Amino acid sequence: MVGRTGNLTKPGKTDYFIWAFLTIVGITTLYPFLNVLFVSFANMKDIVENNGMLLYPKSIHLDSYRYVIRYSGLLHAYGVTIFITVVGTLINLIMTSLGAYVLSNRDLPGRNGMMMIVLIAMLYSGGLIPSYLVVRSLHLVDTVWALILPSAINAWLLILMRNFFQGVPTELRESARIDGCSELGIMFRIMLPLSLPIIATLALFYGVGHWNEYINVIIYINNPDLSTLQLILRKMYTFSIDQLSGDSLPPPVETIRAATIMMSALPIVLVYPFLQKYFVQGLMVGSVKG
Amino acid sequence: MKSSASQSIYANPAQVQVPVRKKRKFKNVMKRYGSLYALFVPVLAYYVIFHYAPMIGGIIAFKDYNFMDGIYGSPWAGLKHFNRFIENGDFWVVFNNTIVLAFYRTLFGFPAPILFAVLMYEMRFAKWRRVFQTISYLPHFVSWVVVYGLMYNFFSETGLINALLKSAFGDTVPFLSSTEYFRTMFVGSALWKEIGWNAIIFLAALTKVDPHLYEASAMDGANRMQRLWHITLPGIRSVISIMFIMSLGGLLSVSFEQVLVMINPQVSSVAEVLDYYIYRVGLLNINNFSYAAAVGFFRSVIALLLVVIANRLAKKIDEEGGIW
Repeated sequence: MVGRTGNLTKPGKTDYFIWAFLTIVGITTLYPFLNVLFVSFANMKDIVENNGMLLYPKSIHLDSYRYVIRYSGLLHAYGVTIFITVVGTLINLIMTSLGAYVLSNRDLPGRNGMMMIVLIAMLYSGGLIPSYLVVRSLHLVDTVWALILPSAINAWLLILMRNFFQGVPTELRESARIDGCSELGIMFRIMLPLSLPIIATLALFYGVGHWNEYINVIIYINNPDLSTLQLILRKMYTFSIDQLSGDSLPPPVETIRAATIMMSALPIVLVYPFLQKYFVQGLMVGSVKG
Repeated sequence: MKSSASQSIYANPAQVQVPVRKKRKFKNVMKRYGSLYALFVPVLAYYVIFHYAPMIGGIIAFKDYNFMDGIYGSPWAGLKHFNRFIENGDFWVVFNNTIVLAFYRTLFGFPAPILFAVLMYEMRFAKWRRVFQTISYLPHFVSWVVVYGLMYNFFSETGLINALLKSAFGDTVPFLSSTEYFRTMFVGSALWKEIGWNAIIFLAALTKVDPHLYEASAMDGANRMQRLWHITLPGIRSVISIMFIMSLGGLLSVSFEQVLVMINPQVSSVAEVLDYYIYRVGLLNINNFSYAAAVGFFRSVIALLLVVIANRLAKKIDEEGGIW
């Protein structure tokens, strides 16, 4: 995706300098993740002996992971987070493709007005308090639906998908209509199968958004049974971690936190390298106009 | 918009028809497009409930909201709440914090991705470019809570950096819990998280610079700096100015999530921004809904104005530059 400026001679000093600079940037980006991984493997002896300076792993212990899984409600939070991510993303995809498909029909009377409904909501927001009052009046506070329904459609992604649909030749849907196919049928049997890359892109953006959700959890959720991974992790920095009445000493608090970071970031870090091309693709396609 | 022009061609015959035929036309439209409108109903319902109802609910900013009477039954209060926050010292501290953080964020956060993109573009080892790109997008996809965890691991009193400082100088620095360092940490962490991601748009613009220009300049004997200065940067100038203007449009939306994650009692005097203030006054402490809604109304209107102005300016630079 990137062109190059240099002429065709051998790489010079400048090239190596740029490479070195970017390498430093790259290490600065990666090392914080690696260091937390190393800390999560440490035990009390490693921490004390190195005065907290653990630049590389001294030994590998899984005690912190064991502790976190057993005691901090992390597995339950995993369940809640996975539910929100899966169900939320499905609802996102259905709602967004409905809107995008309808708005991609250029000859639809009133299309501009319908588009305005989306655009105005994108530019002007009612604000936090009125939104909260609406969600509360629907009795959604302290339910997972408060984390799913209010964010069912992201206008940017809807427009992205609409632009993609507009790129599909209209003859396809016209002929399907003539053959008596319903609009819903056209959407599911013709448009969506042709749009797998854009669906992947949307699913990833929505999915990552749900997985990382924090603001709405803080606003709408008080019930500890509905804690998500991010909430559990953040609380570990504010409240003291429960001391357990077990027979053995708990692992050091640093390693417990590190293990929780790894557990909540791991799914993203793992799938990320395989999916990043979709993310970038999604960002590159289209603008609001059309 | 192009589509409106093409629509008017279809609409023209209808204009000369008599009203009776117009009714017929409506029937035909419903027959042809009715099922499409039906598919739009859930989308419309979503927008009405979760976007337009809160917009109307914003009138509680002009009322004394109480739970018993609800949004519509509560008594009117005029501009009372607006006067209250304008006369309130707390509000201006928060407003000032918002502007200061936005200013630093733009000052450092805006040029950095451009520099990064230009360096990536200038780098001649194509395989490495891939590696650097992949690494640089990664932090964009982890949550602010995780980023805070990573920061804490380095910058807390017991963190790696402070452990190093302690062994070197015998002293620690309260990076995460003092007003002195908060802005640096705030802007620095945002830079670390988004530099690669924000560079994408500039990288894309760089690939569109005409390669013939480089060949011609090489023949004229231009060196690397000259090529950068006279070809590369002018080539992406319009994208740079558009992105700059759009970033001004988002001035008031200083990452709420980042503040929510990074704030603590020691730093709140410099960390509290408008969004957090609305949340604290309205939901966290005393449920002062109408007062918080008035601040929110003020914030929404300013944000709207900024975006509209930014869009207009961006269009002046480049017809295709605005977001609508």
